[in-house]
Amino acid sequence: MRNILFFSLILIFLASCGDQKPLPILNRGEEVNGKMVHEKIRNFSFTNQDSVEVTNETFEGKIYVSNNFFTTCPSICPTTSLQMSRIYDKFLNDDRVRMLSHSIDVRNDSVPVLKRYAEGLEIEAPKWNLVTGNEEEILAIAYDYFSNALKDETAPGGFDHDDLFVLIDKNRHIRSIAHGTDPKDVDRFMKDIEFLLKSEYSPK
Amino acid sequence: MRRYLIFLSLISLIIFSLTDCNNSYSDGKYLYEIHCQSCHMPDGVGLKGLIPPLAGSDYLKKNYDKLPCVILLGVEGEIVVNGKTYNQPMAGIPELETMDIALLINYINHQWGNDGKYTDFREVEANLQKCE
Repeated sequence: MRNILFFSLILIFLASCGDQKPLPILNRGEEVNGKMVHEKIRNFSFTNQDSVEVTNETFEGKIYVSNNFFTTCPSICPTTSLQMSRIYDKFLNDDRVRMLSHSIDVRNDSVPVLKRYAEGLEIEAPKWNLVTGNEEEILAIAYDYFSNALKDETAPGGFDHDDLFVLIDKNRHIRSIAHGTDPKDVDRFMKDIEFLLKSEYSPK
Repeated sequence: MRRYLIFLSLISLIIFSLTDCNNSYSDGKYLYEIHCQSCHMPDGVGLKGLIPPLAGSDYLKKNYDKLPCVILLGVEGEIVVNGKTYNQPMAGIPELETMDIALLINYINHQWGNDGKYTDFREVEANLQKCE
């Protein structure tokens, strides 16, 4: 009798951890006619390191990882770029995954400067887009990615920004966030990417 | 009682000398962590083709006299490290004192298997006169 109880407990335990819950939509939501409607990433148009226009359509039907950086950033950027390149390497052959890094120093980071940085990082578009564009538009869209990007003369390099990596799904919703300076958090983030692909996207 | 005191002072002397040995690069390490580590990484390996390595770098030996100016004023343009070309500007650290620069160079030259020369205040001061 005791054995049966023991085995049923184990079975219940196994069943409960078999299915991972879907990743939540992290954007603010509002109930409209009994249905939750979430805010989305706004429309955008930027230019990448190959001088190619990058818009929401670039990521149509795909998921992408977004962050902020600038090429002369002396503080956290080398670390976050290293962590982003881990994601790049891991999903290099999976065309369902793309990456978007906004340079928040639009005055210095022209297309040729971004190109040189991309070559140094040994990465290529359209897999990983390093983009520049209208300064106001770049700083404003950080808000949609729950990120901070501000001009601040007292900050190292002249800009204040955080280390967030943000995962966006095909419906322009944020599904996972990680601190790009924490390799363990990025490990967890990459598992979230794999899980989102497995649970909501057709196989590659 | 007296014997006990002598014993105690001997023990503390040994402990002090040991900790001092372990910390011979601690000032340089501290400066490295604040000013250099976020780009050149904690293990000195740099970042791909973007930021050159300090660990096992031939640049440190070939440009030994230039190191104080590089640290103080930064670098622009192409440089070659271990046969690989890098072309990303490095910012200088203008707030460093001459002694800080000496401490940093000695730390970097004796970390991660590096076996560079020891420098001192006077040598750094002389090399700083030659900055372009």
